[in-house]
Amino acid sequence: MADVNKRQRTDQDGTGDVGPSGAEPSIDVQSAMPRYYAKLFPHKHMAKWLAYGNDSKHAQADSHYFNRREFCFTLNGDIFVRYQAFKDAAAMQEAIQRRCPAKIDIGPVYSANPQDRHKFGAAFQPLERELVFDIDLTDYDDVRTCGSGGHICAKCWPLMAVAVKIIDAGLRSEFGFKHILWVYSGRRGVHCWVCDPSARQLSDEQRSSVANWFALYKGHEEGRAKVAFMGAILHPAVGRAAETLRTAWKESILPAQRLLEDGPKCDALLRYLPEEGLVEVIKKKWASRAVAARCEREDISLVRWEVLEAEVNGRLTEEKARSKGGGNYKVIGSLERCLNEIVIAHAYPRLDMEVSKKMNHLLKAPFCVHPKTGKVCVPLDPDTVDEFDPEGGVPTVASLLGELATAASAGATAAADEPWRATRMADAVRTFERCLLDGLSATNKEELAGRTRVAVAVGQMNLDF
Amino acid sequence: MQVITSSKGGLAGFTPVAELNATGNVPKNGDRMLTDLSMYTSPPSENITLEEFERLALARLSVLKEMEAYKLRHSTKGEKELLDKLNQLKQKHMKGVSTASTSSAAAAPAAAALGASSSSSREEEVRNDLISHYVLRLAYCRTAELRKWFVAQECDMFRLKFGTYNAAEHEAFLAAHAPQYRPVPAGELDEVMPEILQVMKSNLESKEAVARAALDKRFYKVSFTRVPELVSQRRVLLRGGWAYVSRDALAPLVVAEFRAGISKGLSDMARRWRQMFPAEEEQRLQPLVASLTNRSLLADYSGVSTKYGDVSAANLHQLAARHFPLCMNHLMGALHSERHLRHGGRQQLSLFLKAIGLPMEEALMFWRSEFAPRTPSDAFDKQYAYNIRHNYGREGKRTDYTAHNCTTIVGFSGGAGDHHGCPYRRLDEASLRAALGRMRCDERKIEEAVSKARDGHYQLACASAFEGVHRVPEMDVGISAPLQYYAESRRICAERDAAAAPAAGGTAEGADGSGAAASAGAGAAAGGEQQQQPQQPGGRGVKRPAGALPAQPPR
Repeated sequence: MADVNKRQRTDQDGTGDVGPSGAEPSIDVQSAMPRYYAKLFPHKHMAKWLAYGNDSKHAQADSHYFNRREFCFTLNGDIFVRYQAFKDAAAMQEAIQRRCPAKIDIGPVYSANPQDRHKFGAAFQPLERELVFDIDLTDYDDVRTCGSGGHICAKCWPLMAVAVKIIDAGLRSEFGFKHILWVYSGRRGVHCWVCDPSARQLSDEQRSSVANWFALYKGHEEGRAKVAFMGAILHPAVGRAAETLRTAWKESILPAQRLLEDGPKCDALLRYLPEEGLVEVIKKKWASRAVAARCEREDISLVRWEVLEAEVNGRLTEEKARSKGGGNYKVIGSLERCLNEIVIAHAYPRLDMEVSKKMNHLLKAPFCVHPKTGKVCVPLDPDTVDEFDPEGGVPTVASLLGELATAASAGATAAADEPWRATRMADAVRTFERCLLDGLSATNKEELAGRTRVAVAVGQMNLDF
Repeated sequence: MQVITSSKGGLAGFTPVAELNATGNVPKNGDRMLTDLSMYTSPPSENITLEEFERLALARLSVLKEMEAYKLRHSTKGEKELLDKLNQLKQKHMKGVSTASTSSAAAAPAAAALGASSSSSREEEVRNDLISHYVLRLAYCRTAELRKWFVAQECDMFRLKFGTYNAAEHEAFLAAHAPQYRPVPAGELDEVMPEILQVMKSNLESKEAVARAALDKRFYKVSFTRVPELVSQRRVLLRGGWAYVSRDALAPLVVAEFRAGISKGLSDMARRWRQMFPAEEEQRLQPLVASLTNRSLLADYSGVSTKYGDVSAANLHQLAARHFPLCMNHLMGALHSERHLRHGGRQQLSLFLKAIGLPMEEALMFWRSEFAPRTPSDAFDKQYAYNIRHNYGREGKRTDYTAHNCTTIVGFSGGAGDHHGCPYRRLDEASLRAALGRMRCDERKIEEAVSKARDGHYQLACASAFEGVHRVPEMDVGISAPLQYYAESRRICAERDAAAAPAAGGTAEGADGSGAAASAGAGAAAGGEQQQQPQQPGGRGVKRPAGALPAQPPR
């Protein structure tokens, strides 16, 4: 069960010493955290979300539900304090403000209060947990030309944006989930929390199956990405994803990443084409005067891609017309497949599978502050994910505290208990409400009502032992 | 389900499976459209007599065991033949087993005789099926090994049946037993059909399969959580959390669900085994249930020693040549040539000889003479006689030991110089061929036995050898104990001798005799059960014999 505490673990009480120590740049962020948790962190919203209606006065509300949820605090100096649990929103707020964790992770809801886990032995098991996904830009380093590692900018964000759109659409239309929260992870990726009751109750095996459903990209081999589909005919789900990808490919990814500009990049991409002759023709076309002239005026990658697309399609029509029987189906198949293969290999969402597969995997909570960048993990609206700016558009601790000070000096009458309403944090919380909390409350009521029905049915059953 | 003793008549207050009834849905009459298949989600809830309890369990056990043996013998047979065999076995064992104790007793055989499957006899079938399944669950829940066997057999039976259903029957069955599989309404299907076909093509399924699916137009939708493997491999169409599954793809899913249900039921039952048998049942039901798994289902051959009471030290080698199975024959040969047998071999042979009726004094004489001259008689008395007497229950704790059955013998391991264990397992192919040849086994049957042994089906190999030595048609089941081989062999030879003596009609009698041999196992079991007396409450709680030998028809 203990899986994430890689470095050092103190279960109950860490050192608690969060004072400044050294001269790292993270100190700035760390020293701002007490004020952040006191004035800016939306405690109430977090608690309301994670209680799933069990904080209400409903007859079937399980008042211990919240108390069985694991939180993990990372204290200054990478000290992991796992198996924290809180009675209610107030207790959580008190602990967060007292310990000022650099990072808060959310774990599963267990069969008992995680602090009492030793009493229960093997009976202590995770019962519920949001279905989560984690996508990191570091996994795209072979595609990105703008930077690598922890780098993120407006040029590589389109890769994240299209990933959000594809996974979000799949979760909704294919799996029927409704309550999906997307969060910018604070540095170089996005997190997704699926909060439907049915999603929270998925077994590990079922979680794996959902993750596998979305796992088209299977790593690299001999300089080209391996993609998990076999024939020319795509699964409807893959087909829809490919369509989204090809639009995004031309609109944003290709021009932003300039994938067809320099020689080695072009060669790598041309390796996906099934015929040597075709590659030669395309290279010649690219070099021809007309295309070169167009390239000067327009985006060179885009122009080259259009040439490539046209050539492949032309070759396809030619092959189909060549013999009456419809041509060599192998040739046709590989031609039909290669364009989709290129876009999927480059831009299809690359999930961190392990995060999704296990119920008891920890994941960083929304509204945390990234200790290195100071950026707040703000919710994302998938409908406007293209416009999101991961550099300047994300509030940081410093910017929020600045806004807070400005508001105070201007004498704005912000609510005393929720001072963040005067800052850009208010926008983030509104997104959180719009994308998740508002819809969730009706579902929570339904879920509780369902429990009533079961309880009544059980009560009516006459058990004869 | 309650079990009452007919002798007492009163309620015994035993409710072994009532607590599993928590789903609360007692099957309604309407659910019994299909008599021969059930997901067994809820246990029966009526009172039955102890005799019926046992009879039904044994009937189902016979079907399962014979089916297993049939499959081992005929591994190439298709579904159709297996199904015919299953129906035949059900007809043989399950028909009318419970008529004695129910109110419809008079009506059922009459209806069956008319060939009409009246609703009452169908209902009877459902009831028998349900009760026998649950009684066997009780018996087979106790160890992992037993559970595994039972689940495998039941699943095979289920799969066979389910595969034969047509579209309408599938629909009816699923509606009644697995409502989580919802048929896709025609209108919706028309809409999703193109995508379903696209999914099949994207998985490179054969053109025939795609065409079949397009024609069949029977699809079911089920929550994606129930088909994680299909989802993992993207082999299914998903819409709004529903997976669209074709009828072809359905069977394995339903079988998997059936398996999961039974496995869970069995392990739940195993956990509650102690609680389910309250103190007063410890003497009455528990031994009965426990002994079910130990039964060979074949007649009990303990009567053999008195029936063929001519066994003595003098004619032992003669008998061995004619009637002993290879394992004992092999030991006799080794003993005679080496003038010695090591402990394992002595035990295996000595207990067998005792079981076939060799008196102790004769046994001592036999062993002494066989061990001589290598072991002088006074040395023999010092070293080995005690052991022989001990086997006869005359020394030490004075237990009357029984002969090993095949399961035990097959499990024996031994080093060089050991001759005990099952020769079909222990001998290499050349020695096995030679040994069977010495028994004057039919050439073709020798090859059959060798190939069975090669595949690890030692008891079936032994049955083949039996057929080859005695020139009889195929037996339905394998050999389960050396004593069985011996008893069958004696019986067939006795019948042949009797038939030969009057000279007239010899051939007809001979054929009849071998036919009887073929069905001896099951017939004997069923015959034996009918003679059984209900065990009194408070009885000694020892294992009871599986049944007496069927009365030999007078010759």
